[in-house]
Parts: sequence; structure tokens; C-alpha cells
Amino acid sequence: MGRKWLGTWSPGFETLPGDPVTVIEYATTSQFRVMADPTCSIDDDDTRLRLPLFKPVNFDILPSSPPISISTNPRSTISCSVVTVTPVTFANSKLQTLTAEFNSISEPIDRVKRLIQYASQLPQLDDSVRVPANRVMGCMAQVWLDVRMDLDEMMRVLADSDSEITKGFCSCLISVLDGATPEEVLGMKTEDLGDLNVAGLHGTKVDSRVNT
Amino acid sequence: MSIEGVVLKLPSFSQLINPNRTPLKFPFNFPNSSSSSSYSSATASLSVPAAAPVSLGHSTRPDFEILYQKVNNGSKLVYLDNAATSQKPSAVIDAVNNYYKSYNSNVHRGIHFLSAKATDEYEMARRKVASFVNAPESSEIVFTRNATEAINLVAYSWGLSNLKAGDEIVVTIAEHHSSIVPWQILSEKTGAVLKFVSLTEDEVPDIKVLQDLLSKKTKLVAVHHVSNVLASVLPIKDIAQWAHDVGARILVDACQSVPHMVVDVQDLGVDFLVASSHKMCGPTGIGFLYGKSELLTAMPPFLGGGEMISDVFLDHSTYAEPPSRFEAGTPAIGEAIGLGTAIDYLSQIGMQKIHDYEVELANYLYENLHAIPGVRIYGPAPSETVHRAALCSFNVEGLHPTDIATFLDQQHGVAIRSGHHCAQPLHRYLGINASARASLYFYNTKEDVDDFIRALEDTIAFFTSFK
Repeated sequence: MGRKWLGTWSPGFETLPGDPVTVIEYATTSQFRVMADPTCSIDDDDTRLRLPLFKPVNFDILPSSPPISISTNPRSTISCSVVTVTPVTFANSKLQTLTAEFNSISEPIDRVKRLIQYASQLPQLDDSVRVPANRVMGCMAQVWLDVRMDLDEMMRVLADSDSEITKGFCSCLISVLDGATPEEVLGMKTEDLGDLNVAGLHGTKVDSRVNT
Repeated sequence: MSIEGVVLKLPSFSQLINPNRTPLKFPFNFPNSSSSSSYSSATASLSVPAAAPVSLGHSTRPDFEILYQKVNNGSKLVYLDNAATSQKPSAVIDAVNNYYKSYNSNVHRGIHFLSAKATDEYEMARRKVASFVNAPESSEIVFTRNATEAINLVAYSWGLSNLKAGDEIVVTIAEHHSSIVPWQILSEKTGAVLKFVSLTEDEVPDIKVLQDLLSKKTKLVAVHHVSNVLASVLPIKDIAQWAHDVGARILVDACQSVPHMVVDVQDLGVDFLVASSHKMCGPTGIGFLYGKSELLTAMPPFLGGGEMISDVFLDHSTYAEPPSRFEAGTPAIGEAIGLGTAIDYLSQIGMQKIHDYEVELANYLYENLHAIPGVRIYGPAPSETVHRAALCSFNVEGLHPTDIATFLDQQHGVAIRSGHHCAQPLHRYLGINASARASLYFYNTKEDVDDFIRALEDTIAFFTSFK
């Protein structure tokens, strides 16, 4: 596909009009990772990356995404909330958001409630996915996991469980990993996901003896 | 140091200040003669009420300090996972401590003072075990790490030298994995065939099917005494008779029976019997195999090393007599002594008394649990003729047992188990993936059951509110 990694883009970037830009990766409220096709020109100066202007088309706005400010020429800024983007999101930051969310809930019972709400957001898995080949072994509850790579080389994750709490964990996992790049998924370690245990349910999946 | 005379045993102070505790009772206890016992005493002065019947749960509870704690969000602990492991009375903890503090030394090896004392206490523990199960000789008691190791010992030592291709081993579908997997391994090695007895509609092993499965080909019958999931009790005396009639041996997994009732190996007529210390108020890391003398004497060693030998040469060794032959290496000395103390403690109460109390608790648990809508309990219903053990494995419609156990623990401090309880074939047979299990011991009370039932109702209401 010929994507090129250009660097981190902060608000106030300067661009030159005319050239197309392909992808914006939304990371935090103030930083973007930007990729563009090889036809764009790159300035040697790190702080002033000259970016071709993209043709604004469509951008999937999440309820929590801030408006994106993009400069189109050295002297003006357009507040743009409509941008073409392939569904690549920064898995680690999503994990941090999730962890922060659970950390902010002080009562364990409210954490359980939140988990069950997450569980209810999961789509009902087709019976064809709830098969032994998809079982995650070693869990007290039954967990089915379906992981594929989609056409854009992003990971697509489906999961289900017969336990509501475990289903909630699955839902959290999916919210972090679904749509991530393979590298991001590989880069995540079990310890990172251990932050999810802040849900106040100490190591239910991780520590329980397989044969209980 | 032993204390003579009657001691007025007062409840612990936490019992006094906790309004949720039952009314104060003043049990009288004769101290046992083991090394030391600690008695908790209240600092307030109290008058002795008129003698009211004290439940065994209330009178023994003060011996178990661990039960008086708060867990998670400040709930008091309600420990209902006794089939997994039991709590230990102070006497047992003190005995193990005292061993390490005063006379820790390797056994059977030295002649110095400490070594002699350690050996004495260790062998005394063996005699206590023998007497507890009414084995004719203490040499018929082999100390192992636990019941699982004991079964493996029989499988490797007796099994490998006695079974051949085509021989049959009969077990039930409700056995614990420790009495399925070793036989599977043995079958693979020898070509013997493993046969499983299914359940009746009442969810107990079908002894008619068992009888039909027995034949001249049967060499071993391996069954549980009390089921850790179904709470059912098997007629071991009859089964032993039927096994012997066809020339087979019988091994009994007594893990859930020895801690809870009188078990007499001579009366039952069994060839092998196994149990674990940690389920009967003793420490982990020690268990035992009872084996008839003539069987043990003919069995080759299990593990090789020190202790189990007679003479060692370069090209061969000769082996010791049982039980040493099967006790390679330095044993869990302190733990064995702890087990001996646990046996003293239980004997002091009386196994019949423990059993009678637990039958009462078992019925109370079953009735109250059964009354909750949507609850399905596995195993037979209790009746005049059917006594259940004091445990219930159950499921609640629409809820996963893991969710139930998690919520019970987190919100109510109630400790139960969820999973397959080391009985996957049984769960598969019953058509379920997992179950929850509450299991009691003599230091539990009816109030514990009440707490559990209330907590379970709250749990069900919580999860149902999301549907």
C-alpha cells in the first residue's frame, strides 16, 4: 500500500495545499501519527513537517474524540472534523483509558456493574464461532475467541463467554484490541492487561487453577 | 507440657464484640495431651448462663482463629470450601511450630537426643493414624504427600506388577481425577481396560451396574467413599465383598469420609484406603495409604532412594520392609506430627458426634438451598435412608457458577468453590460445564448457612437485574 511513516503531528502543523494524505491515526487529544502516500514531500526539519493537504472526506468520530485541527497552509487553520481514516487506533491509549475508567470507580460492586454493562455491549456470537477450536483453555468459564485480520491488515476480535463477568472482560479486551495492528497486539504483554484486574476481581482468569 | 483438670474455655474477644455472633456460650473442654494448646480468653468478666445446648460449630469455632477475619470489602469471612481444604485448630499449628522449635531432626537416621525424639513423635503419628482407621498394624500405614500420591503409589507399585492386558479396573464416573488419571496411565502401560459405572436417576453411582461390571477379569475396584460433588455415600462394605467374590482388590478414596465420620478399614474390609491430612484439620503435604500387610509386603518400591533400602551395592540394592519401603527420602516430619495432633483433636470430639452434627447441617443446607427458585442441586435428595454429606454442588439457572462465586466472595465474604471440582467426567455426564459448591465442616454453624443463603439470594437478584 505504500504507506510511509512521517512522524508525530502536533496541532499547528503546516501543510502545503494540494497533495493527498491517506491516514490519520488518532492517538491522544493532541497528537496524531500521520501516514501519507509516497508522493508527498517531507521537510528535513522535524518540527515543521510539510504535509500535503488531504481531501477531507469521512472520519469516524468516536463520542470521545476531540475536533481535529489541521493547518492547510502556512497562514490559516481549518478546524476539520471530517477526515478519511482507516480504522487504526492506538491500542495502548485505549487500554489506559479503560484502566483509568475502572480506577475511577471506587466501589467494587460498581466495577462489576460496569463490567456487566461492557458484557451487554458485546454482540451475540454466532454458534459457528462458539466451537471447541475457538475455546480459550484453562479458564473456569468457557471463553470463545475469534481473531482474524481484515483487508486493511488490522486485527478483528470477536469473543464470548458463558460467564457474565468474563464476558465483560472479553468486551474490555475487544475494545482495546479490535482494530489494532498486529504489531500492537503482539506488543501487548499479559502484564499490561493485568491492569484490567483493577476491576477489583483479583486474577479470576489469570490465577485460578486449571483443574478446579 | 500437659495441663490437668477441667479448663473453662471462654470465647475469643472478637466473638464478644461482634454483635452478629451468636449468643455467648461457655463450652467446657478437657485439654488434650499433645505438646501445647492455646486457649483464647476474654478480657471482660462474664457470668455463666444456664446450661444451654451448644452446637458443635459454636463450641469448636474458637479453636480456629482464621475464621474470625474480615475479607474484601469488610465482610466477615464465611468459609464454606471445606471439601477443598479444612482449617487447622491452634493445637495443630502449635504442634508443628513446637516440632520446629524444640526437636526438629531427621528421623530414623541418628541416635542423638533430638533425632530420637523426632523419630518417636513421627512413629507415634503413624500409630495414631492406624488407630484412627482401625488398621491392625501401624506398619500398614504408609505416609505419602497426599491421597493423590497414595493412589499413584498403588497404581505404579501394585498395579504394574499385578495387571496385564485384558484385565479390568472398575471405577465410577464420579471419581475425583486422582482416581481416574493414574488408572488411565496404568491401563496404557499394561493394556488393562478401565470401566466406568454410571449414575442412577437419583444421581448416585449405580451399584447394580457396578455389580454387573464385575467379572473374573476385574482386578481392581477403585471407588470413593463419599462423593465431593454429589455428597452421596457408597456402601463400601458391600462393594468390597463383591470385589473379593470375583477375586479383585478394592481401593477406597476416603478423602471426604475419614474427616467426617468413623471409618474402620477392618469392618469395611478394604484392601487399600487413601486420605489426605489437609482435609481433616491436619497440615498440607502429608497423607496416607492404608494397605493390607500381605499386599504391601509383595509390592515393589515406588520411589527409590534413602530410607526405603536395606543394603545398597553398586549393581543392586535390597529393599526395606513396608512401610519404609514406600517412604523414600526425608519425610514431612513436622506435618506428620501435625496430622497426629489433628487426629487427637478430632478423636477428642468424637467422630460419631462430628458425623451426627454434620448430618444436621447437611439437611439444613440442602433444605434452605433447595428452597431458592432456580437452584439445581446435584446428587441424591436426603431422606431417612439417604444421608448426604454436608456439601451441595449446585447451579442457578441463567447464572455462571464463577459469577456467583465471585460476587459471593467480593460482596459477602462467602467462600465457595466454582469449577468442576476435579470431576470433569462427572460434569460432562451431568451435562454441565461447571458448578458451584458449598461444603461444610464441624466448625461451621447454621448461621454460616443462613449467611450463605442470604448472600446467594442477593447475588441472584443482582445478576437478574441486568436481564
